[in-house]
Amino acid sequence: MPMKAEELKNKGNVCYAEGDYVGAEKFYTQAIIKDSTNAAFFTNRALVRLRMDMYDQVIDDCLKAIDLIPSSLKAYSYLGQAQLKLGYPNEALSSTLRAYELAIAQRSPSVGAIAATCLEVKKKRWELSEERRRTRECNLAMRNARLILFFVPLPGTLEKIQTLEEVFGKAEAERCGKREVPDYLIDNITFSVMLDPVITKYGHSYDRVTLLDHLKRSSTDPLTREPLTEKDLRPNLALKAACEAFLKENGWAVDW
Amino acid sequence: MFHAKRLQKELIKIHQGLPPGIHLVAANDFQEWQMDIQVLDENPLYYGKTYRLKFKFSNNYPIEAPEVMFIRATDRDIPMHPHIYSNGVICLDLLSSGNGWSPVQSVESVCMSIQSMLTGNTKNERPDGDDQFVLRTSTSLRNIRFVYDDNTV
Repeated sequence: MPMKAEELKNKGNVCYAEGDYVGAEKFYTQAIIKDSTNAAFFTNRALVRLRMDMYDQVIDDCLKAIDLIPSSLKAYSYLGQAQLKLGYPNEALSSTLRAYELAIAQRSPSVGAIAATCLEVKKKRWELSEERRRTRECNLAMRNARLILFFVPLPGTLEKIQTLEEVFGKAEAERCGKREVPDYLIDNITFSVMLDPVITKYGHSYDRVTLLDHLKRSSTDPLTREPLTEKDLRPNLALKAACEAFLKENGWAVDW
Repeated sequence: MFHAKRLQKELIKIHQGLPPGIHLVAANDFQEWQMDIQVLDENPLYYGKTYRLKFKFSNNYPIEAPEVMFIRATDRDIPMHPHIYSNGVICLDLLSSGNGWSPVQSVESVCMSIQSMLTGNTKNERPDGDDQFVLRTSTSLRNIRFVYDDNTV
């Protein structure tokens, strides 16, 4: 008797747990052939394909899962990871942020990990733009050097090129040297730049995920020790925008 | 999860400078650190002496309080204080996992609190029942429930 879709999925899960990704992918595919309306089959296959570096297919599976269940946390999370691997940091960031919102709304235990991924994506996005900038400036420096060589073949040309290199080098060093994070962007609990700051009724702001962690243990504002519950929290949108703007220009601050 | 990152940042700050009378002794990992503290005024109980604190961090630090106690070493004794047992266990509200601890505290701020706890003390004595306490206390601080019955100290 042929296996039911659910049974095939379970077989896939067993393979996945054993590290047999090829086998797992095959079972999930068979499950999908039997029943293409179950979002879990697609997210499971997306995860195994993520492990197999099949990023384009991960995206297909995630989009299908999102069609079936628009609030699929896993689908957005895997989608973001695949987009990042394919070199689309902006798309990856909006997918991961969507996963974060869903995780908060659904009170998912993986919210901490997803918040960390959001920051990682922001760092990657900055790294890519830094790389592009550096290439651009390096090209510019080279071209200037060549221009001088070709059009100013006078004594002292080599020195001029040297000066030019120094100027560009200095500008670069200055850019990298200013690695300070303003205190008002830093969460008092994690000591990191905030991702999703919330403000308490006493006026202090904290990153949402860690503050919720703290409130589970003690219903107090960590700084003032006055009574505080989750209901008293409001998003601090201006501070959030400030953190976003800072990380966009200073992705290194994620690891700082 | 973020305890290593947070401790890393505390360490950077510590290397930039600590308040007078507080020194880092060892921070080789993110599980256990040792700090030395001195009382800076002329309190005769502690004058000219240095004491060593041991910090133990769980993976939940700083949501969860660190375990902090005095330890003996060369030239390092356990300070006399009505809230410090002779095995180094400190009875301090700030370090209790109930409402005393707050995740905005740090190794540095804990050291400063303990420093001022010593500074203000004039009694050359151990807590009531120190002998029995030392006998039955294992090295784990987690399960000790203190009764804060004397707020004058």
